[in-house]
Amino acid sequence: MNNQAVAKKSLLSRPWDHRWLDFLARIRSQFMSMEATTGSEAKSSLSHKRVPIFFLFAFPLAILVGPRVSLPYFDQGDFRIQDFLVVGAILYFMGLDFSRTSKRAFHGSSILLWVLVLSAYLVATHAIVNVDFTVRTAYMLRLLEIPILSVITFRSLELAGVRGLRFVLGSISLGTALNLIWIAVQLVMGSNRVFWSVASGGIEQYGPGLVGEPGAFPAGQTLVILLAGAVSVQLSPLLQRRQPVVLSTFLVAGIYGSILLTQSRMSLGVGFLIVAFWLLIVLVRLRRRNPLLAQAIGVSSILAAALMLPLLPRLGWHSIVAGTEFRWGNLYAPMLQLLEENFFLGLSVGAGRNALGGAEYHSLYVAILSDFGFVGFVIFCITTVLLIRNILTRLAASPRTVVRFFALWSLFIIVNLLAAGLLQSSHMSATPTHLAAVIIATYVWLILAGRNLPGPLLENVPARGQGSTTRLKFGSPRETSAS
Amino acid sequence: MHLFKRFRIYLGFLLTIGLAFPAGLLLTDNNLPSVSEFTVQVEVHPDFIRDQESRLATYSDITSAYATALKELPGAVMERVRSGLSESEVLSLSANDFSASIGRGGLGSLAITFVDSPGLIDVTLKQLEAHLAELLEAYEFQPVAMTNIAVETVPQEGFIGWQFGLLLAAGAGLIYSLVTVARQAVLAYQSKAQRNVA
Repeated sequence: MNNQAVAKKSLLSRPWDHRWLDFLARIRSQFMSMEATTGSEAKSSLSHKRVPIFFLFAFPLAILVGPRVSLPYFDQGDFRIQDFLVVGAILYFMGLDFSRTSKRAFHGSSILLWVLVLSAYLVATHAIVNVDFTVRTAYMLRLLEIPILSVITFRSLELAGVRGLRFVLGSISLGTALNLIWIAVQLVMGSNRVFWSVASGGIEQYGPGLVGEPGAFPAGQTLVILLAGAVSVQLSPLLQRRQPVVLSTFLVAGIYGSILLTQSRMSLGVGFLIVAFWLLIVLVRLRRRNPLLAQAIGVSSILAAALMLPLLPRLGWHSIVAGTEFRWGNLYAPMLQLLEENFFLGLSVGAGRNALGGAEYHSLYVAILSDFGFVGFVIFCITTVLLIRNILTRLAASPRTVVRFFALWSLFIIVNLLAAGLLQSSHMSATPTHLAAVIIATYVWLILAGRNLPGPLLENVPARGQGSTTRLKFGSPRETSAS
Repeated sequence: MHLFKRFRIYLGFLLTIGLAFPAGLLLTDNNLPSVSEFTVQVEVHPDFIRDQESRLATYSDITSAYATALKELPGAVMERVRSGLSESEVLSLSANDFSASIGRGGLGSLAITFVDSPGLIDVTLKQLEAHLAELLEAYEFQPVAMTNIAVETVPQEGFIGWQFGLLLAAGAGLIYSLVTVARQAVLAYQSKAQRNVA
C-alpha cells in the first residue's frame, strides 16, 4: 500500500532529498518483495513471474562502469564485467522459458534470444573443435553480443514494466556520475590508480584510460553517448519542472571535457555537434526572455571554440588527411578489392579481417560490405532510414515525455554511429555498443510493449488524443492529424 | 500539389542514384600494375650432412639442427620479403599474398615452394634468389637446384566499374534519404511551432 502511494507521486517533482529517500525506499522494498509488479502495473505486464531485479539493476550499471578485468592466467586482458553478466542473464531467461507453462513462454523476443544464443554457441563450438581462435571468431562473438544484450534488456523491461524503466534511468545516471568521478580520480592520481588498472599492459593509448576502455575511440564514444543522454534530458521535457540550468551546464561541460581528455578525434567532432545543437536550442529558448544574454553567450561560445582548436594536437588538418589516406590505401581499397569474390553476399562475417591479417576495418560501411556484401549494405541503409524516420515521428508526435527522451537519445546515438562509422569501426567497441544496445532496446520496448503502461514517468503529459499531434510521413511533411 | 511533392521526392531519389551510378563507373581505376604470380621450388642440401660424414658432429646435433632449419628457413625468407615493405603495407597484407611451404627432397635435401599471388607483395624471381642465397649460407645449406615451376603475369584489376557504381549509388541513396527525413522533421517542427504561436 505504501509502495503504491509512493509510486503515484512523481519522482521528479519532489525536492532532491525526498527524491533520494523515495528512490532508496523503493529499491529496498523491491529487493525485499522480489515480486514482479504491483497494483495497476500487474494488469499490463507479465506480472505473474518474478522480476530479474539483479539484472535490471546490474546491467546498465555494469555497462557504464564496466572496467576490464585482466585475467593474467590466460594472458588475456579483455574481459569485462558485463561479459560475465551476459552469460548469467542468458541462463536466467532460458531457465525462465523452461519453467513457464503459459502460452507466452516462447514469444517473439524469447525466440530471438534462443536463435542468437544458438548461433553464438555454434561459432564458439566451431572454434573449439577446429582450434581456430582467430580474429574472426572473436569478431563474430562480439557482434552477436550486441543483439543478445538488446534482447535481454527488452525482456527484462517486458517483465518489470515501468519499474524496470526507472531502474534503467537510475542506473545510467548513477553510472554517469561514477564515470565522471573516476575520470577525476585518474586525473588527480595519474598512473597510480587506486582501484583497478585499465587492462593488462602492452595496449598503447593516448590520454588517460577512461571508462575502462584502453583505446581512445571507445572511451570517447562511451562519453559521447553519455553526453547525448545529458543533452536529451535538457532538451526533452523530462525534467521540465525544476531544471537546474547551472548544474546541467556543468554536467555537459564535464562530459565534453572528458571527451577532450580521450583525444579521440571522431568523438570530439560528434560531441561538438551535439553540444552545438544543445547550445543552439538553449539559446533560442533563452532569447525569448533575455535576447542580449543569449547573444553574448552565443558569441563567446563561438570564440571559445575557435580558441580551443589550436590546443588539440591531434586535430591538425594534416594528421586527419594522412589518417584518411592511410585508411583508403591500406584498408578500404584492398578490402573492397577482396569483395570481388562475392560482391552481393560478401565474404562472410569477419573473413575480410582474417584475409588482411586481422587488421581492423576502421569503417562501419566497409565492415558491412565485407561481412554481408551489397545486399547487406542495402538492407542496412533501408533499416537505418526507417529507424530514423520512426524516431523523428515519435519525437514530434508522442505525447509521452519519456518516449521523446529516449527517441532523442537514440537519434543522437544512431547519428553518432553513422558519423563515427565513416572512419572507425563504430560497431565494434564493446562499452559504447553495449550502452547503445541498452538504450535503443529501451526505446523499442517503449514503442512496442510500454504503450499501455501507466506510471508516474508516463503520466505527466496529456494522454494521446488530447490536443493535436504532428505526424511525419514520407512525402507529406506538413500533414497533421487532430484526433 | 501534394502528389507533386511526393513525386518530387521519389524523382530526387532516382536522380541521385541515377547520377551516382555512372559517376562510379567513371571513377573506377582499372590501371593498376600487373603482378607476377609464380611458384618456385628450391631443393637444398644441408652442409652438415657432410659434417656428419666427416664425424664433426653427433647424430642428434645434426637432426635437431636440421629440424630447426627446416622450420625456420621459409619463415626467414618471408621475413626478409616483408622487411622490404613499410609498416602500413605489412598491416594490410593478405595471408596468402606470399607464402612458403616446405617438403622433403631426395637424399636429405628439402624442397621449399614459394608462391607469390596477386597482392601487395610482388617479388621477382631475382629478388627471391638473392634472399635465398644469403639465407642458405647463414643456415649452412647448399642450394642444389632452383626450379621455376610456373611464372604467370596476371593483370591486376581495379574495382570493377558496375560494382563501384552500385556502391556509390547505394551510399548516395542513403544520404539522400537521411537528408529528406531530417528536412521533413524540421518542416513538421516549424509548422507545429507556427500553429502553437497562432
